Amino acid sequence: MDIIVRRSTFGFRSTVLLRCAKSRGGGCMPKKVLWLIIIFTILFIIGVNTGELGYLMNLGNTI
Amino acid sequence: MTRLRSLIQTLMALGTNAYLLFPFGGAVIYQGPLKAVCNPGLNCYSCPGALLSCPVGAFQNFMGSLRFSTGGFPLTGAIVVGYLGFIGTAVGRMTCGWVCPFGFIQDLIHKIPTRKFSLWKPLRWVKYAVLGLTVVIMPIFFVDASGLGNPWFCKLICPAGTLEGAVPLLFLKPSLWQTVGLYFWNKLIILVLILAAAVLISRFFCRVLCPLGAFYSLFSRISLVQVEFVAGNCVECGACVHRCPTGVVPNQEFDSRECIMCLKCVDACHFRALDFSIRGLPGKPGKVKRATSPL
Repeated sequence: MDIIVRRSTFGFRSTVLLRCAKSRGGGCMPKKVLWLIIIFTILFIIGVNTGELGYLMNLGNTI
Repeated sequence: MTRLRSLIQTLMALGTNAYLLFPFGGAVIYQGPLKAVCNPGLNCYSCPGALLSCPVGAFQNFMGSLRFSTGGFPLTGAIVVGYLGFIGTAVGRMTCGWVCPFGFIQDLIHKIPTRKFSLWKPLRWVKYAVLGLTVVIMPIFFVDASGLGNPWFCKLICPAGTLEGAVPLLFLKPSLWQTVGLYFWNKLIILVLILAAAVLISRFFCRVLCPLGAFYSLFSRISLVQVEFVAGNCVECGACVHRCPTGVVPNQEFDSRECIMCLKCVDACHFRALDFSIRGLPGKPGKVKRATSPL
């Protein structure tokens, strides 16, 4: 179970909500994070394969 | 924890600027294979000692080259976005708090004993405009006759570039003074203003202007590392609020985009209401995984 605390504007009157852990990824790496890591890794590989690495190394003459 | 962070900041600042051959190598900045790797923090590519690339400068150059097509596959900066996105997803703005050399410089000069001020909160949004305009839009649309855009953030604003790149280069290679123009004086004034502001307001540049911080902050709600809050242990003493360098209220604003994960709040809390944790791992009983906050 995930516990979510929302603080009210007036002092410490928290509303504790319980949500099913299953819907939020539970005890392992959250799905969102896993997908983002996969997407960014693919982007990085695309960048390497399209010659961006060489461009990056030659930037010294332009920056 | 504070000592460990200072040690890591020092090692990163010195380690990524460890090219000491500059004065002896004909005053040429390092352009070896390590320059293919971006520094996770803001560190000028043109710093005489820099071994790594500046991610913001590199991305602007990719954006600037989008319309300078030579017929091949356009260079979209996917390598930089992939790299920074990976770091952002893994550790979010912890990069700002632990490894960014310019953040470290600001931490140091904020120790100068003067009266300190808090930041007017709406100014936090300026960094997103800086990211969108000077790093993405202007390099794409403000191009020269050949279709090549300029790195406008580097050219107009970047105080790290002036402090770590331009100023040391001018001292080490006096012939460069002939190339100094309006852009340099403009940036020097900006640098002085930002450093003065950083003395008075903690992490002023990170909170108001840094495009890299703005990018990493997009991942604050999902990054693997987080500061957990144990509601039952909090006595609202305010110690965490007092210590936070970015003006976050740790017991109210969870996963704040402004949090640089310096963990000063965790150190400050004597009631174990705040703790560092990895998102997704089973927490201790009573710990809050996340909550809503306006920022």
